[in-house]
Amino acid sequence: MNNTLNIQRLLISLKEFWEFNRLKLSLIPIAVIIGYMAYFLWPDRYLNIVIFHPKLLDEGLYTFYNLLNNNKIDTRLLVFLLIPIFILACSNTYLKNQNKSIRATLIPISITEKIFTLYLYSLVIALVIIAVFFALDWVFLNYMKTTYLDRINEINMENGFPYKTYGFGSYFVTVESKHVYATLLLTFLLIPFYHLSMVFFKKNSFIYTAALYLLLLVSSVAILIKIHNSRSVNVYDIDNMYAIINNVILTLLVYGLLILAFYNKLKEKQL
Amino acid sequence: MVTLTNLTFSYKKNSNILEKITANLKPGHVYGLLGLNGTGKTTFLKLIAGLQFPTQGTVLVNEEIPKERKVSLLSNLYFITDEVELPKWKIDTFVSIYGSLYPKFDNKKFYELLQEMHVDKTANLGNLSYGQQKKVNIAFGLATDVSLILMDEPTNGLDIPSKSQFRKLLSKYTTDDKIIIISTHQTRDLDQLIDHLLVIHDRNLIVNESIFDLMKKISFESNTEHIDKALYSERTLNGTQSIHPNTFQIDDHFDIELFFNALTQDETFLSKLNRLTAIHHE
Repeated sequence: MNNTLNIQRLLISLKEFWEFNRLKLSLIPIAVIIGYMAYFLWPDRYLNIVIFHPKLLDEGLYTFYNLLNNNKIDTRLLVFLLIPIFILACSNTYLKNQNKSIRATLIPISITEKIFTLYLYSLVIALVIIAVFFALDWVFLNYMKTTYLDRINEINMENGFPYKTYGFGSYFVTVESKHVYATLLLTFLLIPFYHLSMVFFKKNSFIYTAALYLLLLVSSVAILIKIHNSRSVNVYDIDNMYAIINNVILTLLVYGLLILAFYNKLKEKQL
Repeated sequence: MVTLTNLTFSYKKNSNILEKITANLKPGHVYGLLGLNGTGKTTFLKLIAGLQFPTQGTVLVNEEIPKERKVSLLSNLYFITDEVELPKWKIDTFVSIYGSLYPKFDNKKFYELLQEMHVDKTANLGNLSYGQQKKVNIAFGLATDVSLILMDEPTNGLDIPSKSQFRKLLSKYTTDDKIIIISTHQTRDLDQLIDHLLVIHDRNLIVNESIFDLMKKISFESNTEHIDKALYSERTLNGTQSIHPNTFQIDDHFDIELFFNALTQDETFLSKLNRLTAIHHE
């Protein structure tokens, strides 16, 4: 019998996680839709004006112009905060069980399979949220483009801006892939800290996770600045491949150690 | 086979709960684990299950070390705890997920057991009472058909008919390839079922003997005239109950409760019992 990883058992473990979090996982698309709509319902944003102040749209095109031309909606990336929120909330029940329950400890599923389950679901949660977000963004921005872009361009022309371009943050351009990568990176860096906090600290694990995470971010930046101290401080210097590879290796090493610590903590857990 | 060698355990340094326990528990027996409150019965079970790690000594279950919690061992062991920790799912969801983790799990047997214990198989575990959930857990444990079943106070929370039902089911599903260890205070619920006694007292396993062997040594009498010859006696509402050397090889009912009282109330009883053993051996 393979005591470490067996696909059949992994599937059962995934099914078990689903059953523990069925409601929460089913609510993900709804939460993203609500989050996305809530963002645009905020004062000074499109839905708020359309629903609560429709007269502003009728009174003159300049209100409209200001809204669509100047209003920055880059902060809609905040909806991506749902990724860590859902990952932490769904893992919480599972990890609490691993921490306290005799049943959960003695279930014939290996620790490797349990860790795989946690990470696979984290990935699924992240991808679902990103997919729903992109679908909403695509529909909404396309609607905005087909409905308003020509008219806004005309206004820009009338005002002497014939070559106006639109970037991320406008009502006509969707989120860039680098934002998605950054979100995924920050989220997945958070996960091992959360897992460890849950098995180390029975109470206030959220606070400890946040503290550990901040400590990591601050110390990483401090180390990077120290490394680059001899030259101009630019920790995100993408031209320096050597530095990038070093940082990636270092990050993966730390990541591996954190997962290993979590594995051992689960293995050594006494109830 | 469960092999304990010089097993010592302590939660705090220099304060052993269990001390140098050595025992071989063999398949085909229902072991009754007895002890006063706080003597380490649950800890003993946890050490066998690998939920606690020995401070000294070793535990082996089917030649595997429980503390490693390998799937090969876990899929052949089931622990029915006093506290029920079942998820709030429908029973069939629970069975479809966890049943498949035990190679010998018998779905049909599980539903038959539920029916015999009068539990609605369509129910949601979250809506069941403590006793009902316990029944589901017992049914599941028996249906796993594992070689080692550990039970911590299994009859706690069961209603009166269910206790006798539990006895019947357990005796029905006890086979020669299984070890069942039951930790209990409710000896009257299970005394017909237990065929081997393990008694923990003052950190030691003071009794590790089959009922059959014990009955060869001692007999139980009620309101006897020869009370002066008793190894132990106590007054109850039914008169004086006493334990005597089984000189005439009477094959009668073994009163676990009285035997346990004798061990824990009378400091001299154990040495008297051991002396009987010596005489027997001679």
